[in-house]
Amino acid sequence: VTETSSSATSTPDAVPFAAKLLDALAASATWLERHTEAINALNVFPVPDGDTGLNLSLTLRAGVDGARTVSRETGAAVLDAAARGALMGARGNSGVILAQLLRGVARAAAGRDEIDGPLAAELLQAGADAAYDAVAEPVEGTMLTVARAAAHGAADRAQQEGVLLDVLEAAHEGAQAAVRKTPEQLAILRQAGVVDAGGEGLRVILQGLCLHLRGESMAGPAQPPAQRADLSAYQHEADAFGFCTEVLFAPARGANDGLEALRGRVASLGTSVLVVGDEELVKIHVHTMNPTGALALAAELGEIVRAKVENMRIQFEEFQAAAAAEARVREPGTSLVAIALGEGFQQIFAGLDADVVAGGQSMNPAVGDIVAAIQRCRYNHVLVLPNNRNVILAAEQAAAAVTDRSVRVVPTASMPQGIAAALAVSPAGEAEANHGAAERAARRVHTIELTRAVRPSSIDDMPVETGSWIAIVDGRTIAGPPALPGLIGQALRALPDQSYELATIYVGQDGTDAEAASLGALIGSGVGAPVEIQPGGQPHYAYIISLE
Amino acid sequence: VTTVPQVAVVTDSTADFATAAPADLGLTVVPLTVNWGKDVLRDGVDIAARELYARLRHDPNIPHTAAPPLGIFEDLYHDLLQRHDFILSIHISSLLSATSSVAMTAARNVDAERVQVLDSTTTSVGLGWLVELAAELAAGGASAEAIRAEIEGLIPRLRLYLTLDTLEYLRRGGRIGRAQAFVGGLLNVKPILQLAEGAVIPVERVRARPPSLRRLAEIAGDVSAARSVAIVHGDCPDDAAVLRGQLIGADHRVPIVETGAILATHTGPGLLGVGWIVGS
Repeated sequence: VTETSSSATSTPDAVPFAAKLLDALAASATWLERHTEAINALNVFPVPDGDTGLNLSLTLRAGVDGARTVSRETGAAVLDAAARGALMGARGNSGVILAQLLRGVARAAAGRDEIDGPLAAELLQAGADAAYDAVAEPVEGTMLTVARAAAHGAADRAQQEGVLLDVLEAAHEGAQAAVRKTPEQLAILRQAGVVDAGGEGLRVILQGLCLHLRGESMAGPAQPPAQRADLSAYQHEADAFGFCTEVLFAPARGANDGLEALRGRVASLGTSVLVVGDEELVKIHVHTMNPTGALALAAELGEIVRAKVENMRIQFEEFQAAAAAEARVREPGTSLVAIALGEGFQQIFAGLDADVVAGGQSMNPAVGDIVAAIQRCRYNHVLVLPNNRNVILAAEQAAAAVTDRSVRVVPTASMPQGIAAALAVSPAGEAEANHGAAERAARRVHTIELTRAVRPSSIDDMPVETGSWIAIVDGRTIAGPPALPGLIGQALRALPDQSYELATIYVGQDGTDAEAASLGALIGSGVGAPVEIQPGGQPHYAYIISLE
Repeated sequence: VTTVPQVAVVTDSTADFATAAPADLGLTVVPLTVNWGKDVLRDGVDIAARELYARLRHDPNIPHTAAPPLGIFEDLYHDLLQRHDFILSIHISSLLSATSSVAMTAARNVDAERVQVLDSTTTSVGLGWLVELAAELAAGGASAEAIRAEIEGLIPRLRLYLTLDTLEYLRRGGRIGRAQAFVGGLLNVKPILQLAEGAVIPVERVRARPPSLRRLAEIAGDVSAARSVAIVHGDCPDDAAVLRGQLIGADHRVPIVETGAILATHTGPGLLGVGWIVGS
């Protein structure tokens, strides 16, 4: 019998235990609700949809509401009703696990009125067991791991005759440590730079119980997110893994104090400690930053027979590289390399998943840069979009230089053609189908490039003065009136088709949005299509117009 | 005289029905929920797609969809087992929703022998066709094993292609998966997506609405060879009618179905799709 349970029954003005338990659950639910957004922001596993905090809050609140509706004569009755309520309200993966955990707790509490420290530890263990049982394929680094860690923390403290609050605080500490470790257990968390959302939710629930028992108020503003899942960063940081160290040694006579004592000394060196053997031969296994410490220990106690030290970080990196290489083979697909000039165009291609190489009109990219871009690509098939007539040759040379993947050039002659080609490519699609789709899409696009003459010349025997507007329609310079409205009409008439579904004006360095807007009005009425205006940022051509 | 079928068929509210109403088929439909601000709304009970679109226009909160609560499944299974020997519970792809997983937990808790949960790997009209067939077979007295075999044989023949008018809802809902990078970027892109092997897979990108409809029709090909065909839409009946006109081998008998609030939460208005069952 602990202090808490004895004082609760002996104090004359004591509130019935069942009512206190309900208050504690309600307080914890409120505490959890204040952390809903912070937990949502962590959610990447198993589906990154940002609602773990909400699901847990709704589930626990449903449990509290359920517990309010029954007669609350015993603690077990409250837990039973809470478990039933949570079960009814359980939402999402994490909510279902929480409901099952509560059910495990309630079943183990059957027939009990009050809960003391040791019973609390038992209940948490029963809850963790039930949670594991609920999941067909338990994954570590999740709420399950945290539930078990909390139960372990509670059990350790209960053995030392801890009262209820002590035991719950130990459970919370166990949960907290386990939450911090979840990124080590689950790669997706590490990649996203977060701890496990469900595990954190369980920790918050335990924390709420502790704070309430300590008499603290749950009122306050919502907790802002401390971490936010970054789903774009799939880079592993170089963790300090240490060395997997194994030493086989023959203990000297009299130096062998027993394996248990030796385990203690090895444990001070690192983790994953194993000490096995007998009086004649002992093997130590430890993951440590200090392999020489393990060797020294063995040398001190006897004669080293054999030793092995492996750098686990390098092992891990090799494993990762192998896994990545395997993934590449397993997940075939098509990557894109686009050669583009102008910040706007480069951003558009990057937004379409292309690796972008700077280059284009009067700025040929180096073949080596294109090769490097091809080799950066993720998939085993690569399509190169030169996006300019003068770049096609360099793209073909680069494609021929790469031998460890299949590389093909889609001979796009303008950036609008390249955009159409990129849009037609499905990353998961077959290479041949993608190449065909990209070529067909590029052919459906017509391009008008508008620029001003930099010196006097003549087009089709018509004189062109410096500063006059010139239109290049699908690569062919056409003669026309020197002012833009007349010239654009001429350019549209030079196109093979007279009606289109979409026109896009890409505004270059020498163009203005206002002029683009008036051009847009002319084009829209000329071809009967909606007009989009995009920043292209290209040099030389004030406007590049695509019609498709 | 009506006899109670040996097998009860259960599905969820993401199933869209091309022809008959679920009640007429003897099906039990469990609603998923839309959590919106402080509201917890059951799909088709507390909120219909129409109300969802109206509220999307003015409510700054982002709605989240959630699987039905475990207790709902458990109570339903208990109840149905009073009158039926077996339950076949067929649900939305487990890659899109936790519904199958909740149903499986409930099945284990209630009676793992008598309640079978089937991950359909599809949703919408695809799921509708599967459960429609299951209900017909059950009404005819088929065993659970026989129904399950028929359904599993039909799954590989389902096709569902979709386009969206806006990507905003898909982006913020987080369930876009592999299509994430596909629809990123600066251009106003209309993606063509496929539901295959349980997941939303990007097919291609089109830069305007009219060609996206035409692409759907091209991908579908001649639908007169299909065993069933349907057009599904979210708040765009006019586009659905245009698409039906473009489908080769289709006529006015091809049903146009409006999807429920769950799919609509993830796609917003302007969802348009064509689904069919490859003919034998």
